[in-house]
Amino acid sequence: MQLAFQQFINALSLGSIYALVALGVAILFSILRLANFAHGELMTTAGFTLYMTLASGWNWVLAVIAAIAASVVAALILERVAYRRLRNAQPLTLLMTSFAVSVALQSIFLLTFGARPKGIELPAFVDASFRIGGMRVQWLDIAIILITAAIVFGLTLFLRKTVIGLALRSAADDFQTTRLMGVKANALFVGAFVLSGMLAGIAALFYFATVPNVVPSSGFEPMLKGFIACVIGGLGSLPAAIVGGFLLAFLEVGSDALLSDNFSPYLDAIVFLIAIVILRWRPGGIFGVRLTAEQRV
Amino acid sequence: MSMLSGKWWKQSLVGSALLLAILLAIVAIVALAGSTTDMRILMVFLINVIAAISLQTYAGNSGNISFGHVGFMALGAYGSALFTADPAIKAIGIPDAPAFIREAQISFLPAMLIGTVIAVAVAAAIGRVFVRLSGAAAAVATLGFMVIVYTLLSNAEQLTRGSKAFSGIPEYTTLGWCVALLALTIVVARLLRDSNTGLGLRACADDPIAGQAAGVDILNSRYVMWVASAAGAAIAGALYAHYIGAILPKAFHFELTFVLVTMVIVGGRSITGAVAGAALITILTEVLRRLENGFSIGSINLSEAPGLTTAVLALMIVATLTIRPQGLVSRWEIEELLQRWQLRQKPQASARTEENHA
Amino acid sequence: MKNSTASTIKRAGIGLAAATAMMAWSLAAHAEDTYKIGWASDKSNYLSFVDEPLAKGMEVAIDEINAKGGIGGKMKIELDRRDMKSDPMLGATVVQELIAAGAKFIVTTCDTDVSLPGAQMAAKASLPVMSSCGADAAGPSQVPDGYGFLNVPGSLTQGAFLAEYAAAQGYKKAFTLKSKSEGYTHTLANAFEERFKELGGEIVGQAFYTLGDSSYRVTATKMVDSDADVIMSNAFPSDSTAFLKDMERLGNTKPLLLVDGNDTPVIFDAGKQLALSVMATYGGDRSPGSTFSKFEEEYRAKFGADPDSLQTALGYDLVIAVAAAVEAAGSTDGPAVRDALHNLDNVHGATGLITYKDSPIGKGIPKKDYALVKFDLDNKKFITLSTGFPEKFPPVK
Repeated sequence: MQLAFQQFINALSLGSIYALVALGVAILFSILRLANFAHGELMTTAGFTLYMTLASGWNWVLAVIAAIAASVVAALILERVAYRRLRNAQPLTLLMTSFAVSVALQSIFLLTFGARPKGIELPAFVDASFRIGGMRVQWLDIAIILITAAIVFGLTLFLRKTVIGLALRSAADDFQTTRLMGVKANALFVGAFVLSGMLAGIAALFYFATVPNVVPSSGFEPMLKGFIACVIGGLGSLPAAIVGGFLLAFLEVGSDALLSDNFSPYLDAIVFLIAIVILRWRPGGIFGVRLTAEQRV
Repeated sequence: MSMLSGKWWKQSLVGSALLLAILLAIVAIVALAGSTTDMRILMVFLINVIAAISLQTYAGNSGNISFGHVGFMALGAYGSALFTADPAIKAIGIPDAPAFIREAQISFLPAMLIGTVIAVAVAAAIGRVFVRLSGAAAAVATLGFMVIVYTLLSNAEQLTRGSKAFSGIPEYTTLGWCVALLALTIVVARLLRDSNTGLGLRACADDPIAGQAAGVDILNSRYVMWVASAAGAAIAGALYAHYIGAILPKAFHFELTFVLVTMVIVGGRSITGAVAGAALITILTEVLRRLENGFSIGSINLSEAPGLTTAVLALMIVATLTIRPQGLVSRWEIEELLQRWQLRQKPQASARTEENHA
Repeated sequence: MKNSTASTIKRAGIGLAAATAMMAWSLAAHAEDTYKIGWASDKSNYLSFVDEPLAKGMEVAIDEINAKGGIGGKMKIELDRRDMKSDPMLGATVVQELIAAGAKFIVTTCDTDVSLPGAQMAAKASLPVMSSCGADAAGPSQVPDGYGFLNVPGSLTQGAFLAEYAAAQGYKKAFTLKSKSEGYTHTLANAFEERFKELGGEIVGQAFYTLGDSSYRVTATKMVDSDADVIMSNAFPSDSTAFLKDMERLGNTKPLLLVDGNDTPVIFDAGKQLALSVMATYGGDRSPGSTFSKFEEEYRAKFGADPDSLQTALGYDLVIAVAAAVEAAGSTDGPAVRDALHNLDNVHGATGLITYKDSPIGKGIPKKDYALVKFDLDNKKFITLSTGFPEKFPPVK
């Protein structure tokens, strides 16, 4: 029972990180039809910024702000340099461009920081925990879960109540009409990339709070998980991305915790298999997002 | 267009012959003027071209990407290598494998067929799931298939030595085999592409509603392409295994997947595009790599900047895609490109040529 | 069409011509009185973090030997290191390139499986080939005609060494962490399990991870909850640091056994769990005046800093062993150097005495002493507890 509860918290905390990554991926996808493989490198940017600022003795609050700012700036640069020209390109071309961007960024990290993992020295309170009965609960997990909930809530308010939020939502539904209504396309794209960059930065904070080093390829794994989460939830829908993130985490933790040791080496395959089975059952994801002609390519 | 006329396959054969002629010219140049290393690069290039054309047979026609075809390459590689490898080495490496594998030592062609049949059987069994997907869902699901194959092979210690290298594979892959199988792949890929199935499928990729209204069965057409492309990928895998002599699951993982997908996307949406993309990526990679090695002696120490060449390559791909989002050759095949080029060379004659075509 | 296939071919021609010219240039640059070691190394992929420090150690040894006039006082050593990006196919191509560039000895990257195609190519050209720090004991046996060598005593002996230590500490129940992603990341743990059971221990749990995993919480939760009295992990950074962090978060108090892949300053990012940990690595005598301290001095003189991991010492060892073999062979001829290397006996390397002769582990695998180290968290230093070699270890499979 105690063990089960411990694993439940593990899944909830992991799911929060996946959900944040998935949300960042889904925002760009819903508005631009851009499946941004380079989302992971936005996280790595935040990771290296954390490493550099903390190593040079910055206060952790400043370091956190710098990390999020760095990934937002990186997202904006990507928008301007790589994606703006491709606004009308095929989704497949967008996908491959984002992949090439991701490889380029990884190589640039490698050039700048080297292949050796860099330690991120977070303040000690990150590792603090308390006990309930025989169980150990970490403040970090509580913080991750609560902050994720707050972000989801805040994002919902932002998208519902602010003008730019409304514009973004309507662009996600029907981009052409939104433009005809007088919303500047550039403003929409910049808005979407800023949001995506912020989410990547925050997800990176949580991610690098649990993983003590950053390497040039750090962002790949969480990015892939975010993508799987998006796809099984239903690409193009923000709530679906969040649910997908938690579902994936519970699937992973659940199969790892419940299956016998014999199955443990097959975990990756099992998780992907379940994802494929879900897609067999609902090709548009669990929430069966309506596929527009554009998406179907 | 002429493809819709009765003898559509004639154009396929002409196009195949042209493409093959260019590739043979490259082979001849390298064979005459190149070093042993250049020949190796050429062989790897030819194997990659077969794999890229196979991937294109699915991707280019369906408009759907697949990150899973490297999984079929792995099946083709292991499927054939298990039956050709030296029994003495298998007796040490995989003593617990079934006797019919451990003791087998058959020649290249039947072994390749075994590998291909395995890949085709798997593709046929799972294909229905994948052809229903599109866009990012297809990307993630096919990537999942690749990861599943990789995980199973990494764990199949009794059969394949798991994540360790499986060696003792005879080096059957010669230039002759590569060229012959490349020719076969090109012809089959072109015939599939220009057939009604391929034509309808591509029409649907451009405009699904019109295509379906015209009676195209998207799912079945995609399924045909999926299975055929798996066969091609398996052949490329068998050639790979019997060229390199020792294989491991890691060789058929993310890296190779992305190399092949990049070749296909950079090239464009035709068979010619797959060849052009493979050529461009191979040349870029090699030139950058040799610059890196060459300058290690000079004063500018490029070799001390690992990652620089990869970064340059990736940025060049980004540049290519932003400048030509539709790929190097877009959706055109070689003979169409030549026609278009001729038309542009002689604008005054264009009216006449159009007439001839009508 | 601007980018027609025709212009692509033109570019191919130019590229090949340029490449051929470059090859000719590098051949000309190769003088006759040097012994060229060609290294198909990982400079930019996931193994580069071990090949990098190794390269520095090799440079120290090469400088030392060349300062005395070279091998036997007359033949200078030259290192040609090229990137193979941990890709087996590119690895073979690079080895072929190195052979064409005049390399007489081939070094491959730190994984015998990834570098096997390259190693086989070297053997075909009758050149001895050694993995920079790959530890799979089955590696050399897959290279034909005895041309394959390891630079370390292999994963089987290390696993057994850790198991003997665990048994000596009185541990009875072990939980292991391993990965099927590589040979190294599970053969070592398997050897540990085999020897530990032989010594009366019990394996109460096995957990698997995939290389590059970041979350070990499920595994850590299971381990902490288990009745194991020792945890053995086959992971290396950054997987191992993430694992140890998760163990810390879940309040682990069980002792941990780590493997040589963690012998890098990066491991100190793992934090407090290191206080519970003991690591197996290489290196015998480290007293003042030993080869190791001499190596450290030379390293400091060259790079202005302490060697940051024992991998550097392994690089030094490699060059010393090769040079000793060439000198003993009295020839740069591949088969002669191979035979001399197989007969190498008690050569002083930075990590202690190196012996290939009549290797108890397997042909081409050196016998070197292991060291058990613990961690000085405050100064980020490794403290040697003891050195030794396992009494018994599983046979090569």
